[in-house]
This record gives sequence, structure tokens and C-alpha cells, in this order.
Amino acid sequence: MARIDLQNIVKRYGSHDAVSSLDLTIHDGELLVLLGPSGCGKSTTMNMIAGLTEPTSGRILFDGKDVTDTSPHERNIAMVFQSSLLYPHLTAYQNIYMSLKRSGLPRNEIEARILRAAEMVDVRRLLDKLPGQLSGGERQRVATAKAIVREPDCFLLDEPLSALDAALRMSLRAELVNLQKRFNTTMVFVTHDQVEAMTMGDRIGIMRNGKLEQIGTPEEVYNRPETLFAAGFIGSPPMNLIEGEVVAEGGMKVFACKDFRLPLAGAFAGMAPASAAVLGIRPYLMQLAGSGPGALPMKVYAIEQLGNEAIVIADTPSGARVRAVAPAGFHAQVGTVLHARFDPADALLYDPGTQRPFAVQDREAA
Amino acid sequence: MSRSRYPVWLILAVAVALLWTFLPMYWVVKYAFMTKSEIARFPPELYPHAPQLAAFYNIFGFDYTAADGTVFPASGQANQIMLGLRNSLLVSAIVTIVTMVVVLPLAYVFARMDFPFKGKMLAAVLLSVSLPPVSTLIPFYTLYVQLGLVGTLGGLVIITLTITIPIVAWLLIGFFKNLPPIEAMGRIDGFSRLYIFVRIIVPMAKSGILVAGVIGFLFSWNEYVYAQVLVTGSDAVTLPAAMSGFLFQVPEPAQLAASLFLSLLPPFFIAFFLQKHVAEMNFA
Amino acid sequence: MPSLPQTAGADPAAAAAAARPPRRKELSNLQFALVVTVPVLLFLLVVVAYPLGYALYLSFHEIRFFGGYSAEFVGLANYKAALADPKFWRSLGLSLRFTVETVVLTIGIGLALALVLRDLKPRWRWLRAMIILPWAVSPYGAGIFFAYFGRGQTGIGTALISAFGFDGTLNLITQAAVIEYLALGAAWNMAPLVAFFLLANMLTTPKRLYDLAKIDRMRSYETFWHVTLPPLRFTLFVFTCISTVLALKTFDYIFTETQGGPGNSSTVLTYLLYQISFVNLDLGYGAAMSFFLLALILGTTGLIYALWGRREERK
Repeated sequence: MARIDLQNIVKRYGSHDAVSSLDLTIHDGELLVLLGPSGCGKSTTMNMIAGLTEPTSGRILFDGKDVTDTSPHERNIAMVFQSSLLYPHLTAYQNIYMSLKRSGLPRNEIEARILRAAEMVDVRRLLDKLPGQLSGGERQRVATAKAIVREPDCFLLDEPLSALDAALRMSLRAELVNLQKRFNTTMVFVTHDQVEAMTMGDRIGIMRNGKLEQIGTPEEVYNRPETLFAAGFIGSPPMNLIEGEVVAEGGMKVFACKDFRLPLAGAFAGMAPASAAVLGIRPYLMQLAGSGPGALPMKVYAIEQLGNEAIVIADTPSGARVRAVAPAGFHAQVGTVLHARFDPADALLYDPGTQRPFAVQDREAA
Repeated sequence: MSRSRYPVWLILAVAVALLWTFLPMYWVVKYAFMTKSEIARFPPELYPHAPQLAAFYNIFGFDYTAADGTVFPASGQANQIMLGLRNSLLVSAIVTIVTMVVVLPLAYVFARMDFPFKGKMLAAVLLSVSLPPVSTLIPFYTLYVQLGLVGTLGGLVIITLTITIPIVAWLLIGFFKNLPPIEAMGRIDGFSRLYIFVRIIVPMAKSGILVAGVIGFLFSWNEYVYAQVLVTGSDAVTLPAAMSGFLFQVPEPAQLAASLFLSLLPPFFIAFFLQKHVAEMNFA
Repeated sequence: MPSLPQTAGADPAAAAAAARPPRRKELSNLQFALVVTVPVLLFLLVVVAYPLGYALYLSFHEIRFFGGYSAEFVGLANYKAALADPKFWRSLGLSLRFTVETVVLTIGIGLALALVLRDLKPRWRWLRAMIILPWAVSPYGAGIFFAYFGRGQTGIGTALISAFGFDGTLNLITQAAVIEYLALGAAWNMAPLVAFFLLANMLTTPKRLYDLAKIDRMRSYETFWHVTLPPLRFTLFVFTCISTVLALKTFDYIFTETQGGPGNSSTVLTYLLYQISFVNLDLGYGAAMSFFLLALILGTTGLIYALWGRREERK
């Protein structure tokens, strides 16, 4: 078990910063998910935690001890690689054994540990097989056994489920979380799949262009995305983003765009007028309703039936594509004009210049 | 017999392909089984009417007496042919081993690591492939005269390495590039770079290494230009250089064909058993 | 005077160095690379730098062997002489003709062989192993095969016409068409390898694409053009480059097959170089001309890359 601190980490390749001045703390026993699109620096960050890549500058601490210059093995970590990589010329047993070959443990102890680990992830009957003879899910389990057999201070998983089909991913996801909670070992999990991140993470770190955009619990990043990117990346269906401006009108602040005008309420009612603003609202917070002031007109593009609800995908007159949640079985012709309403207090307002939410003077607190 | 029949055009195409492949070879190899008078006959005979193995005896220095009492005397070049056979095997074996020892780590490093001047060095290695032997021969010849390497096996080995090393390196770099990122896993497991290379990468890549090595052997076995200039007539003569005596000095089609046939056996054996793997090689 | 507590005589830099954690015992990328690249550098020195340097030296000198070895500096005279030599231009033309024909035949025949081999049922797959055999034949061996195969006295031409009852000889190695005949033999030697790589590519093309072509009612040449050919393009490019370089370098094959003849009708650039350097022993002139050959090889591959390769790489 370990607490991991990254302090002002920079990784530069030529003139390109793969990771730029990153500060990150991973708490002891926590499952932290690093989430972001490909090339955002999440895998580089993980490789630096593992000791596979040396940071250009900055320090990495394990339980307060500087490990920046130590080899991967000395850090006592275990890693599961993309597509659950295994040594292709070795059997499952030998693959797991390789984790302990340099551990200096006595032979019988190693054997006992391998069997225990194999038991735990249910791969005992596969121990004599070569990776080529295993299915994707079985390979993933063997890779997990290889990781847990070391009894490491920290698990690092680099998109281990990305090559598997959806159903298998879902069940292995739960298995991994269950395992992590049972061992209570620190785990860092890298993925580009936001559903995976939301379902697994104690906290989620959203990365983009080598920078940490936001870090927080799933609820925090879902309900209060701190950047426009985080707002658009998290959530399925994704958050609706509508461009417009904020004007002052008779003592009220009103969000105005070609499609509709909406008097602001809640925290953002106190913001200063802005010539450019992006309004974000989750589809689950939009209800279909009749036309009128404050209602967003939209033309139906498609309707997705999910069984328990339906998602209306529609275009606003200005061309923004938005989604709203409707009751299960909701039907409408493509091209029909509908209206959606939402509580202005639920809306988030972002400054497209800084990509962050507008500052508000909190009057209640004042 | 066959349940599903082939279309006529495919049968025809296969026949043409086989004819194209074997006819030029057959045309010369048939001489090995013919008598001198048969070979000299006009128009040319399509096949040996009384096939016999005289030429094979002769090139190894044995007289051959046919059933009718005709004696085919041993070839005056037999000595050279036997020396050539031995030397070709020796040179090719040594060249292959040295090539692999040099190229394996080299190709690995070029394929899987980043370091300064990598691109330029790789370009220089590949440039050496495009140097025509006729233009490098004179510099090598002068150097060899000064070093006393003309007519020696060692000298031939060194110069043959200049052919095999770039080609084998090129093949292996492509092969190594396509391996999964196994080094990272090896380092997590606490192994040194050397251990990872020797005990993990090499066993993983053994089929590719085998193919590359065999191709190196083939290039060495088939090398002729350097051998012709550097070792012809010496004790270090190789099979191709020895054989050319039958072509240019005393034309002996039967013995030429017999020795050519012999020289083709190892490459054929190799090609036949490696044809499944040949196309697994990737381009760098 | 108040002073900071300090160990006597301690040099702050040394203290800092001592405080630094020990560096990794492992070799860094650079060190590891150096260990293996030093031999490479040596090798390159011997194989590239030395011969090129020596040839450069020769090319600026007039080398004489009569009355003792002498080397007289003549500047660019050898280069100028080469450019003014009609034999050089003639051989250059022959080299280009041989190369273009060899490449076209190699690629075309390779493709044809691959298509035939692809459609074989499993029971006949062993034929694939037969078809690759010419590739294992050395260039000098191929030269010998095609020499006897083509000559009027011994060749297939005469055998064929006599089978149809004609008298006389049919020589395939003629002044007019010897280059074409040579190119055919060179293609015989190289095409099987091309075929094998193309075949490997073809076998990875999804069968579904052929079903799609059927649904779209493509004609067979359209299917070939739109389904079979696209995945092969990179391999075709690579082999175009390889066979271009090999064809321009070809020497032993021509040496055993035609010795530059009949007359001098197959005296390609490499063969001319051989005559100048090894028969006439005009080393300086030969060296200068070999640089034109090297420039031709690099220039042609560069051109192929610029016109074709860059497009393939972008994919």
C-alpha cells in the first residue's frame, strides 16, 4: 500500500511536452482513474509512476520517499499492460512466475503464491497454456494474477480491457474493483473510456494535452465539470453545450442565443455579463415541454430507445445538436419541432476564452 | 476424383507457372545426365536418352565407366570443386554466425530504442546495400593486397559480411519493430536489459531470427563477384568461383550442370522449408 | 560571527552529489545503444567510408601500371571524360532499359504467380513451395541457365522450331533483344519472392470484401483493381525499390549469361565499369564513372520514393 505523489512532473519529447507540470496525489488504497483521449499524456504519466519513463523534471514520491531515480522493480509495483500483454513464449504459470523470479523468495513460497493468485482469479486450470491458446478474458485474468502475485504496493493498469467485448468488459470491470477493494491496494487505472472511469474510479483525473483538467470523485466531475472539455467528455449521453452570450436585463442576467433566451438563476445569476458564453446542461435535466419563453426549440433528428427511457437527439435552429431524455416509448417523427425546458439553476456557464466556469460573487456567502 | 473441379484457366495457369519455373533450370540440369555427344547434337535433345551419372563422378575426381565400356575421365577441376564445396560451406557458416552475432543486438537497438543519430546511422547502413560491388571491388582489392588477404578464407568472410549484414539487419529491424512492448513488462519484473534481450526477446523472435539467418546464409552461399576476383584459383576458392572454370576455361556443360545442380541443393532445401515463413518478414 | 553549522571542509557541491540517490545501475538507452553501435560504426567505416573514400581518391587521379605504379592528380578530368564518352551514355541507356524492363516484368510476373497460387485448394498448396525455387538460384546460376536456354545452338528456341519441323536455329540472345531476354531471366529469378510477399498480403484481405464486390456487381478486372490490388500497394512499392536497386547493380548475372554481348549489346553500366577497371585497368576513370552509377541508383530510388513512396507512407 502506498500513497503516491507526483510533484511538478514534466515529460518533454523534443520540443513537445507530453506531460507538463503535473501535480497529482494518489491516496493510499485509492482507485484513481486517469481518463482522457489518446495522446493526452495519461499513459506517459503511468509509465513515469511505474519507472519505465524518466520524467524530464519533477519528483515522484512513494509514501514520502523519493523514487524518481529508482528502477521499476524497486518501486514494488505491478502493472497490467494494454490488451493484457503476456510473454508469448511462456505458459501462464511461467508468466506469473516471472513476476517473482527476481524476488529472492524461496521456491516453495513462490509456488504457493502463484497457486493462490491463480485461485483468486480462477485461472488454475489455465496454468499450462500459452497466451496464444487463451481467450481475451482469460489472458486478462492471467495478467491480473501476474500482477497480484507480487503483492505490490500499487497496481498500475494501462487500458487492460480495451481489446475485449462489451459484456466481458463489464464483468471484468467489477472483478477488478472488487479485487482492489479486497486488497485495499492503491490502483491507478488508465482508460479513454469515460464509462469505465465513472464506474470504477474512487476519483477520476481527466487529462488533456499533458495537463490535468480536473480531478475529483465521479459525482464531482459529473455534476461540476471544471472545464468545458471535462463537461463534454464525461457523461453518456454527453452534456449539451449551447453557445451564446450573457446580458444584463432589468437587474437580471439572461443567457441569450439565436435559439432562446433564458433568465439565469442559482449561482450564475450573480455573474458579470459576457459577450461569449457556453451554457451546459445535462440531457437528464431537460424535459420536453410546450413552447414559450425559456423553452429551447429543437427539431428531432433521431430517437434512441433504451428501454427504461428514450433519448431524443435534436438540432436547435442555430444548428447545435442537443439531447434530452424522454419517457420510455416516446415517439416523434424526424423533423418534428419539440421544445425542452430545464431549471436555469441546473445550468453551468463556461467562458469559452478560459474554458472554465464563470466566476460568480456568492451573494449568500457575502 | 476431386469433388470440386478447378476451372480450366486455373489449370492452364498453374501449368504455365510450373513450366516458367522449371524449364530454364531443367534445360541446363539435364546436361548433367547426358554424354558429351548428346549435348553437342543438333537440334538440341530435349532429354537424356541414356541418363547416367558420369558428370557427378567426374567432378569429384572419379573416372566413370559406362555400361558400354566408355570411360568418362575425372575432371581436371575436381580438386577445385571439392575445395569449393568445402570452402563455400565453411564461409557461409562462419558468415551466418558472425552476421547474426553482430546484427541481433544491432537490429534490436535500432528497432526498439531511441538514441541520437539513429536515423542517420540507419540510412548509412542501408546506403551500403545500394553500393554496387563493381565500384567497391577495387578499393577492397587494393586493401586486401596490402593486408595479404587475397586468396584467403578470412578475407572472403569479411567481404561477404558487407553483403549479409545490411540485408539481415534490414529484415530483423522490421521483425523486431512488430513485437509487443514486452521490455516494459520485463523491467517491471526486475530484469536487466541484457536479460530481457537474451532470455525474452530472442526466444520470442526465434522464427524471425531463423528466417533472417537462413537468408544471410543464402546470400553468402550465392556470392560470386567478390569470390571470382579474390579467391579464384587459390585454396580458398568457393563453389561458384570453382564452377566458373567449366564455363570460361574448359567448357564442360555436363560437369558445369552437375556442379550447379549440387550448388542449388542447399538453397532449394532452405527455400522449400522456409517458404511458409518468408513472407512473415516485415519491412522496416 | 554567527555561522551556519557546517561540516569541516565540506564542499557544498560534493555534499549535494553525495546526497543524490545513487544512479541506476542499469545502462541508459544511450549507453546500451553505444555498446552495440560502435561495431556498426566500425563496419560502416570499412564498408562505406573506406571504399567510397578510396574510390573518390582514385577518381581524381590517373593511375598507371606500365613502368611501375603511378598516380597523377588530374582533378575532374576523369568525370569530364566519362560525360564526353559515348560508350558511357550508351551503357547508361542500356542499364535504364534493363532496369525498367526488369522491374515491370518482376512485379507483373510476381503478381500473376501470386494470383495463381492464391486460388489453389489446400491439396495443391505444396505447389507454392515449388514456385519459390527460382528465388533460391544465385544470379550467376540464373545467368548460366538462361545462357544455355537462349543460345541458338543449345536453346529452347531451336528445339521448338525443330519440333515443328523447321531447320536452322532460333537464337533468343540477339543484338536487338538481348536486354529484353536478360530482363526476363532477372524477373524469373526475383518474381517468386515478390509473389510470396504479395500472396501473404492477399491472404489477409478479408473475404467479405470479395462478397461486397459481388454485391456491387463488379466485373473481375474491377474486383482486381478495387479489392485485390489496394492492400498490396505498399509491398509493390517496396519491391519496386528493391528490384530497381538490384537491377542497376546487376553484374554477375550478366557476366555469366552474355559477357556484355553479343558484341557490346548488353554492356550495361556495371559491365562497362568492369571492363574499364578490371580489363583496361583504368582505375581512375572507372572510379569516376562508378560515382555516376551510384548517383543513378540513389537518384532513381529517391525519385520512386518522391513519386510513390510518400503517398504510401501517409496511410
